[in-house]
Amino acid sequence: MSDFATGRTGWDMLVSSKSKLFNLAAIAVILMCLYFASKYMDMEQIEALIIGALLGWLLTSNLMKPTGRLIVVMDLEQFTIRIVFIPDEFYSKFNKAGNCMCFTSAFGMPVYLAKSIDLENNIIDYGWCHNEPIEVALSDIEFFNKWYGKYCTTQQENLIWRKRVDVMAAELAKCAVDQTVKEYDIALGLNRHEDSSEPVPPVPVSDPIIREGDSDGV
Amino acid sequence: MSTLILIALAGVVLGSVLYRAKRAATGPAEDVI
Repeated sequence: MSDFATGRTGWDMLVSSKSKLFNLAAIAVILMCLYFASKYMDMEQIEALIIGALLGWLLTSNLMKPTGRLIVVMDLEQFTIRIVFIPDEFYSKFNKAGNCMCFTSAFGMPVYLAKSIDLENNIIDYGWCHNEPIEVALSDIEFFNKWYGKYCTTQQENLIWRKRVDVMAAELAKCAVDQTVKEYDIALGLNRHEDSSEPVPPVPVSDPIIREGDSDGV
Repeated sequence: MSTLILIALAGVVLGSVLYRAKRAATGPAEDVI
């Protein structure tokens, strides 16, 4: 990653991709073949050789391209993303760690999200979406009960806080209406609130859901 | 004409050999982007 920080030269970008480097090497080989062939062939034969080589490259790359899968590696610290193609025959040779999450592309190619990948040592780290491995999460009843209890608690807390906003808004509205009614009373001389000179402050509700008669199935 | 076809076939072989060599040189996995 430090290479990105110091800037990249053209040579650095070229040698960082073996694919690009080999494309240039292939073009060089073809040009050398054409150079030596030009001594013994006429122009028509050289054209046939060029067309044949292009045809062979295209046919081989399309018909003989191996099936495989994509590994999407996201580095959230550096905000970089890397997509690696691994043929099926080599994927089984990789050492895999973490919780494997498999998606599929629109064309049906398996796509995996990974935390890191080491192509030199054949290691894929998928990372973890939770603290327990997937086989424990699916097979251990204690883990399931622990997870289910936490899920229910969180749901109840969410319902309480969602209801609490409505109650607080109702209390504020009631306070405002009381204050307005009191001002109207004074202006009209009704004096219904002459014994209470101060406006009634809103009563803070500690936990509105727990109040009696206010349960809605939480 | 037959010479041209033979040369074209030689080109096909050359192109396919180069592509297979590229696959072998880039290794089992390669970056797509």
